Amino acid sequence: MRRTIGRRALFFFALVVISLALYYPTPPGFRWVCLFTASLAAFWCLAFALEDLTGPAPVRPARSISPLPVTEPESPFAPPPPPGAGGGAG
Amino acid sequence: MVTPGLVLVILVALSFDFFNGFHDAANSIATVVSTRVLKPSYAVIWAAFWNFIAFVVFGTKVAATIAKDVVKPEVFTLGVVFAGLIGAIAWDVITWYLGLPTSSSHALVGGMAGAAVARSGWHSLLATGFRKIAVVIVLSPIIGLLLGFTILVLVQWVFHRYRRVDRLNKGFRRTQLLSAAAFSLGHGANDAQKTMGVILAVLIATGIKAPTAGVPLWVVLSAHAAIALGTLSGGWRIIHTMGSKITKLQPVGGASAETAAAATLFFTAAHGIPVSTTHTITGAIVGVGSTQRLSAVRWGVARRVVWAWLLTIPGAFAVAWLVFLPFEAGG
Repeated sequence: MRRTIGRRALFFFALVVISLALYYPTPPGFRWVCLFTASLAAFWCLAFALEDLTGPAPVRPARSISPLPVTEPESPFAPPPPPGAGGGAG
Repeated sequence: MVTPGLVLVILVALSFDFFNGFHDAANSIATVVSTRVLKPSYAVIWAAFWNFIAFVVFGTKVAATIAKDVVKPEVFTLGVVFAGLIGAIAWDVITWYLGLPTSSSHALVGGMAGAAVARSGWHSLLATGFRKIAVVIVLSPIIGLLLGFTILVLVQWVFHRYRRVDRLNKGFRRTQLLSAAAFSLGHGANDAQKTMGVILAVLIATGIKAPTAGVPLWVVLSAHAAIALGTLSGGWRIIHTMGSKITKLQPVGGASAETAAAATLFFTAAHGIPVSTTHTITGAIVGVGSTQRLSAVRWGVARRVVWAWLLTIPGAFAVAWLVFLPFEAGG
């Protein structure tokens, strides 16, 4: 199965984008804060992306052995009660 | 000259401070209560003590920020400050009832702006101050989130080979007491100073103090006492939202979230950056929850909280604007 970048890497990438987008609206004296948050988020984004791309590939969920769909038998009656249960001769 | 109007406005300012403590008690102690490190009754006493002690540790440099950055100082009158405070208190009560952790500081900004606009129009607002506050609304939870996430990952990395989990948890429960104290200290220092700034602005506007005067000691003590009393009264609805609804916390997660938030508050205060204590701790809790997996965070609750943040300034603005209308009609 093909390896893809997971949601956590994308989440931190979104934080990088938001931090950089705030750079110019932020007063000049505080702009280093935007750079700090962008760098920290970029670090985690890269770390999770590398983990996703270099880790073991995700396993595809096992398929049913039978190619035919499982269907319930058509019957107007309820299935019989299990042995020893139900309103017998008590 | 001391008039009944001036006394009333000072009492309303101290009431706002009380509600600030009441509303924001959750910020300081939600994680301590939700991880059962302290019983709620002891936790509020712990937080209130550090709220009050903050005046010894921090100075009063931030006190005039509200008066300088948001509204032109010449617009301030007793009526404007009164209406602004009522707007902020009303918004705090509404969000407390709904259990939403909103920023009391932003409610105060919105309230003051609403009353100032009702008196002198839109040109009475300072655009640079509002731009700074708008940026910080987005930045402070991001800082808290990233630091909370980073600290917890580092802690997990350092202790991942340690097998005595019970002893480790006991250690982090003790650490959480310290981190909660540090956060309460930052909260008391930041938020009590905003009320001091309002009272100082009123004293200057009425000619009792010179424009260059510092904050009188009685204002400092009464502001810290009011916020500590508010914290003692607690705000259980918000504690529930922050302590368990956003994500489930363990002692290690609680300690990491509070350490991240306290570090952010101290660091940004030292650099003069106005951040919201509420937004920072909420971001830190989300960051700690994200270390497990993104789905460990209840994003529906987080989205509701963010909407409340965005609506805080307009909401308090609208209430203050309405409260000021009778003053305008009365001349």
